[in-house]
Amino acid sequence: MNNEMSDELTRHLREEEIVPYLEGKLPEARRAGLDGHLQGCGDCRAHMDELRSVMAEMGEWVVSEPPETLGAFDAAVRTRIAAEGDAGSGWLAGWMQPQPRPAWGLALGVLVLGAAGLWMLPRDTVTPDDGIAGLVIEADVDAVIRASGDDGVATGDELWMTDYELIQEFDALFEDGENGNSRL
Amino acid sequence: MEPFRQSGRDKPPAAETDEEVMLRLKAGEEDGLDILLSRYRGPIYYHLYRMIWNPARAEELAQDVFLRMYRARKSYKPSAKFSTWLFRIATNAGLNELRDGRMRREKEISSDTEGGEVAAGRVAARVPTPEREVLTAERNTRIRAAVDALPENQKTAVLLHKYQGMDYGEIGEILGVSQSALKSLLFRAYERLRIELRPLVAAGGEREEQEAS
Repeated sequence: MNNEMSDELTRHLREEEIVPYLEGKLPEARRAGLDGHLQGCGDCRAHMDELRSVMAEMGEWVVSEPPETLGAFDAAVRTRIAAEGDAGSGWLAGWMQPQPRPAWGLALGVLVLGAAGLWMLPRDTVTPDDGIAGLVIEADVDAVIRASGDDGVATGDELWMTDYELIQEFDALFEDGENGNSRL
Repeated sequence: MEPFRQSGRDKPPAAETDEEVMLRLKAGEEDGLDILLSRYRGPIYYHLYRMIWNPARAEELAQDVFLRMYRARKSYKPSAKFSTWLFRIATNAGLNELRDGRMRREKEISSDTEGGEVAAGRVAARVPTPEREVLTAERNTRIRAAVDALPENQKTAVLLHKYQGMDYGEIGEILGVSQSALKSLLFRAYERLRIELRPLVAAGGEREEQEAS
């Protein structure tokens, strides 16, 4: 017997009638109909016998008497009720109760993300640094060059650049200039 | 003074229906909570325990159920059977626990050594022998594993059907399905169990034959 038997059974009998039939809860007219089929169908009869045995076997499985801890159960419930106070069931109590509210969680998440996004927007930050590498500056190369008095070189705007990169760029420009390879 | 008939106050507690007790609780009579606890702490606990297999967590969730029941007392209306309502709360709590994945049920389904499960599996009127106890424990373990492997709705339907003695209408109401759908659900669940537990059932049949001979 295999799953095909299940298909066979449900081909002959209506699925929603099988358990009520086994429990003797099917209306008389329908029960007579199933009885009639089962008398003539050995496979369905065997299948129903197996189902009946399984249901009986399930009845043999009983969880034990309440464990010791349930002796303090009532006291624990009372304690929790007292701790909450008179929670009742009004709308205000509903708001006061720590229940998960997905909509609120979503709104809070949006606010947090939005605040984080605002915090991460580019801004002037010059952080003290002992070394060249890692110092992040917002640099307009032309503005820096003009401020240094060395004009005539345009490499475009760079919004973010480590000053180490800026120095390398200057070195490259200087070398180009020395070699007569102006980038103008 | 005219007795408070609506709440059934003139009845002894044991004769009160669950709905009457709950209405008294709604009216502020706190002993109603004690009565409902005594009636339902065990069934609710064991229902949750069979769903999640963690006794400590089942007890916490069972407390949650009664807490929610208490919180809802002021708006309670006996439009549905009290036990259906309470088990619906419990079932939802159990299903949430399963879905949240917070349960830590024992993955090693070995011979069950918890409390009285060995003793509880005894068939009435038979003398328990050590061999029988071992077989019973093994059977309990296999049944538990098979039930645990069922899809959530099927598992819950079987637990309510087999161990709470509820009728199809009540179970359907708890699960939010029609009676017809519930009956189909039960069939599919028992069909899966039939396949899973076939060796167990076969072994049980052989054992009975041996004892009878």
